Amino acid sequence: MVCLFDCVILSCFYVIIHLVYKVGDVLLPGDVFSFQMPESITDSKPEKVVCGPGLRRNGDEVLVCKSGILRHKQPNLYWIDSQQRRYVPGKGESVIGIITSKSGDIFKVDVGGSEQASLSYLAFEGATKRNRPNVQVGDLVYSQFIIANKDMEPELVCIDSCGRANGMGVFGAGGLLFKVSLGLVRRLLAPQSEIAKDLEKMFPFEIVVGMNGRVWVKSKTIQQTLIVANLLESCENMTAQQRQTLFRRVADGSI
Amino acid sequence: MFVRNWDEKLLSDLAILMVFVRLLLYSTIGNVIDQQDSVYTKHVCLSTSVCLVMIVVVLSTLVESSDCKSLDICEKFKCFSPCVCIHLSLPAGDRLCSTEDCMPGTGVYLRHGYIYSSLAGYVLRKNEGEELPVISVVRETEAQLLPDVGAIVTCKVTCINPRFAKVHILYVGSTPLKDRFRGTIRKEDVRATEKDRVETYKSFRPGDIVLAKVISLGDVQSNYLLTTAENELGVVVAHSEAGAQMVPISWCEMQCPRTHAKEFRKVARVQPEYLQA
Repeated sequence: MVCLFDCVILSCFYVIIHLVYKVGDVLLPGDVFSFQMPESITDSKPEKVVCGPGLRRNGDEVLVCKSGILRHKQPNLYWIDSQQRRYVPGKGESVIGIITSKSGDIFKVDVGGSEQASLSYLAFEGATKRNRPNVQVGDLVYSQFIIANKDMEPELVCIDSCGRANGMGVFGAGGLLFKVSLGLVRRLLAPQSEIAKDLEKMFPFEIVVGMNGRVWVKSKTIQQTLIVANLLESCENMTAQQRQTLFRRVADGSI
Repeated sequence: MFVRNWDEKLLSDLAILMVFVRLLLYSTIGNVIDQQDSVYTKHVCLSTSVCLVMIVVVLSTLVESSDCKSLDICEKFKCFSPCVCIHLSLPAGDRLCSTEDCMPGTGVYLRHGYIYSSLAGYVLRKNEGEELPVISVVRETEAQLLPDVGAIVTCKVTCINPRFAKVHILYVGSTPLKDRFRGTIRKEDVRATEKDRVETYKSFRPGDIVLAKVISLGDVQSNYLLTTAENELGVVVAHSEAGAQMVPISWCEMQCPRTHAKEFRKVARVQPEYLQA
């Protein structure tokens, strides 16, 4: 554990209190800490510190912008792990969207953000002006953002930079679409995801996970689909052990 | 109000008018009355003729004291009473001076050797050497400067789009404008090189102050077309996402002094003499 010790500084005009922060502490927006490593920690030199999401540099200090748990990754990356259900579009993220309308050459897609994203009909694999893709209003589409910022309308595409679909496009005949928190989605999409591994042992199913908190599941029977959906929604606030016991109980058929 | 715009010419006109009308009435009604032999009716005719004339006079003063906009009322009045139309096409507007004192300029007109104003505004008298001074009436004391093709304008970005950026033009050269004109900077006019690989989001953001040049005045519906495709044109003042004013570090990047985060802009190369420390 890396401990950041600070001193209580009293000055004539104002009082700054720096609290003791450890990795794993819950922090709130507005908390300030400065990186003054004590000499006892020999392996970490005063080096460049990289601020991840939830942290922002303000002159010589680092300010916390989001409430959550402070995490650290070697050698010098710090970030805040926060719970959030509201999605904010970011460039390069793959999301599940629902087509809401067609107007001319553009589809309007609901991605769960503050405004609807636009998806051009030419942004599908093998689509030309004559060969239009078969997309209807209400379809589910897995696509990624090419433009996503606070000043412009977000734009989606269903092809990558080479022009191949790469798993993106329209999907979802059957199956169930439901919403989870963004933190759970990130845990599912992590490279060595334990939740995914545990789920795989249960029964075969298809799953599509969007970074906007939307998950689509399809299994052989409706009952199995519903079981998977319920398990995913419930393992959000469980520890690993609780989750494994639950999965074992379901696999045994007791639920 | 009754006497304000009275002048000698008008008085003489009206005097002639009254005589004329009376003669008319006498000639028409008098013929009728002769046959009926009644002094009373003659008096009635006289009084009615006088009344008519007074009505006409009052109307004329009313029309005269109103301004240019009621000229159409004057026109309408003319068609109802054709017999008095010759002298009652009265000018609307304040009388400024006679033609012997000044030359007419803009916003005034000449009538009977006098200069009258045709606008509501301020009187401007300009002395031009040996000739008579020029008198004109203007709505605003300072002339509005309009952006012309080739003028360098200072504008503020209001909205961006993958294809263009919309701006409000604030200054033309160094003169501030009273109204904000709207302008458009198209994607291909942002810079001179690699026009097709321009990203508007990496050149401008809403709230930036930009120096641009006018390339077209546009049609009725479209705005001024502007360009920043020169080294001296582009973003001059920009604020970062943290809210601090950014410092330019190259022609395409600016840095926030607080968070030290770099942001992309199309930066203008301002001449050193215009920079204030």
